[in-house]
Amino acid sequence: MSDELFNREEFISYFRDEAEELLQQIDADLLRLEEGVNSGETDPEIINSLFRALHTVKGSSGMLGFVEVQGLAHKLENLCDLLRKDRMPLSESAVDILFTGRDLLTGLVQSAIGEEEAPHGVAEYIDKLDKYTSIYEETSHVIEGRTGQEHSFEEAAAHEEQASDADVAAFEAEVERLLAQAQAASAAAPIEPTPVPVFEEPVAAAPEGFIKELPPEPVETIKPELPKPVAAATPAPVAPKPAANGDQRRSSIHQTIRVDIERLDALLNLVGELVINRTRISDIANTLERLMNDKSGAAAGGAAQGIIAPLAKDLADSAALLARTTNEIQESIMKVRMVPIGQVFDRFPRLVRDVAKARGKEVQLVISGAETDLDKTIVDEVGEPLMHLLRNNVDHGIEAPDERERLGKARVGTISLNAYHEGNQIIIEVADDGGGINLEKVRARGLKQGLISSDDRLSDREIVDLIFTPGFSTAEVVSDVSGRGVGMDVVKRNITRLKGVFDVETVSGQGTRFTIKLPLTLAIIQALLVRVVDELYAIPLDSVIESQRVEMTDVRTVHGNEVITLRGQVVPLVRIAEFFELGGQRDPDKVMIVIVGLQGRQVGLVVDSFEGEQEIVIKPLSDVVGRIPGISGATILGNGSISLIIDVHSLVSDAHVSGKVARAEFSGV
Amino acid sequence: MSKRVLIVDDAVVMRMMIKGILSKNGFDVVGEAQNGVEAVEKYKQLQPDLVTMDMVMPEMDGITAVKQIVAGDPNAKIIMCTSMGQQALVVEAIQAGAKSFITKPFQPPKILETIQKVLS
Repeated sequence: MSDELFNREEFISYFRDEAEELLQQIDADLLRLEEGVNSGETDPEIINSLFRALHTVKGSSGMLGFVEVQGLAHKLENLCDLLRKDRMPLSESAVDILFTGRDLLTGLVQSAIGEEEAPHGVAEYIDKLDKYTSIYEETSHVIEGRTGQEHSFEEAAAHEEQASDADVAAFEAEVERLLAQAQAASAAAPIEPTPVPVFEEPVAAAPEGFIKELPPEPVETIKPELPKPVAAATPAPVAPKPAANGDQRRSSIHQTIRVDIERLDALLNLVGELVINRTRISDIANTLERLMNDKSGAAAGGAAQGIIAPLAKDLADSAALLARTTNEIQESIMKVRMVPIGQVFDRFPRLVRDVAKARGKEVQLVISGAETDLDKTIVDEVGEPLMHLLRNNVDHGIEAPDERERLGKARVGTISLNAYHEGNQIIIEVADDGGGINLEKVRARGLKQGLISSDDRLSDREIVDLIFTPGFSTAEVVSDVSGRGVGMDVVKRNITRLKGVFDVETVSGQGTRFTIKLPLTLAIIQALLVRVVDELYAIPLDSVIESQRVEMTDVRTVHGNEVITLRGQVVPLVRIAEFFELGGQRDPDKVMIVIVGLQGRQVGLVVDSFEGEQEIVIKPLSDVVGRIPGISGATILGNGSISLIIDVHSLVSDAHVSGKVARAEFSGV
Repeated sequence: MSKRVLIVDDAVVMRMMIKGILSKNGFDVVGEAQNGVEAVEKYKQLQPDLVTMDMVMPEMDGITAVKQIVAGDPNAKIIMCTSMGQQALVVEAIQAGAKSFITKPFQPPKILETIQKVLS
């Protein structure tokens, strides 16, 4: 089809979303199918669902000219067709072949839309698949007395990707002829007029199946006139079971609409502007009100006040109204961006299955809270880290089945994946009932790699923290599944980038629990505004512990680093003015400090003054500016001025590194 | 007045594609449905001049939908969208009351020709 008929880019983006959804569904279906094979009870609807999903992938990829995707989808569809017609036994090997096929199909889709390199081994796989299915197809050929030399439509369909216009024309001519025959037949022998038998499972690409199910009569009458046995397929009832399974499911149709995330972002940006303006109008109203109440400055005279007073009140009222509406808009737009985290969880049963199988472990994954909503951006980002955690749990957490038995545990290990809301956060827990992290081993490893020294007195928590250190070798203790070499430091960094907090608890012999706390959204946050020299900075409120005024006499200097002692804890100070090289003078008498903390580590940020709390809309810095150490973004304030947002995380870890010296020194004090 | 069309297909790419072709040729796509159940409901609600109907869909397949639509409106004009190899089903659909069929992958001129024929 010519390109002017449609915007190809747009179609491809729809195709990608749709294919992703379908592949996910195929995965889920396959897992259920596998369970069925193991338990000996399968629901035929699973195979039908697989068949339909593959059929849709085939159709859509065909429209876009993704020949390879179409070809493979077709072959897999074919296999499912054999399965659902009981022409091929449902076995573990069939499911394994489908699993592999599904993965290659995913690879082909990604390469078709230009996201990945083409996957390896497609040709070999198709070869294998053909051999596998041909056994069963040939059986049926023999049954149906076919020689296999005839060029028939199912073969054309099997090679639909190469179908020429002539093939299509032939197919259509065939249908016309069948129709004519059917009409002639019904004219000759009036059959029951209305109910053409309802068929439950539509059949697509392998029409041989029909022959088997044909009532003998029409075959007899039509066959002689037709050159091809397939064509004998008539308006025959296919699986004439009681009808209309659709009717019973009528109740729950989910109405959804696909929206480009960029459009939502644009909308959110506008809402952001609205929020800013609301703040500004409130400011003006407040100022006016203050002026009105300021009787001392009544030089302007009572008359003017008489006019302005009601105006000020009007303004205040409408500002309040505006505030309410913007809040609601803001809330609903945030909700639009929310999607259930199940979208990510869905792919994990497969992952756990694969890793467990490869490692000879027996693991069950228990998922709860899949319906918990959070921001789409976060959902997209949190998949990777969770995947690594789960791999890690299977690989290193759960013991081998025999080992577990010896320890008196169930052979099958359990990993639970749980999500729930807590206030403005979502909590995701990944827990296993394996052996726990071996602290001695970690400590030994840390020593060997020079991350700690032998006279460091580390708490258990600090030892566990070592596994998050970049470069901490993963060889023995932590994850290095499939040689990817992805360490826990990457997992932690990813979570931190999402403004999340990552925690781990481990009990020797009983298991490990990773807890991830993430904000529900990244777009709008509460911030504390501070002034430094002439600049306003915003500090995310969730990391602010307290703010204080401290006399200089309470500030000590250790190895060139300023520190204070706060409730027995040593807190390093960072002078914002000096960190950002703003110039300005140090106050010789006192410092204003904002104590910020992340995961038990605290740092005092020295500022000039506190300017109050405000809701801010985070705007990322453009690429032109690049990454600035200590700054995570910017925001526009009510008065139109720009404020930079302080990256608490990087400041805390910075100070912590140099603060290590301080701690060693102070431990003797 | 341009003719009002309801597009039924479970694949969003297909719906977009058909919609693109029809809209650019003066048809008014008044609705889309992604399975047979929706198709029957939307037909009742929208009373379109024409329906394009996929065959393989979840919840309710295209042929069942044709039957239910035709049962309510014997004059319904429904065109089946079919893949090669589905000849038996096409015949069944047409016996159930569909007026014609088009074969995937679609050729725009062919679609338009078929539609004109069905509408005239």
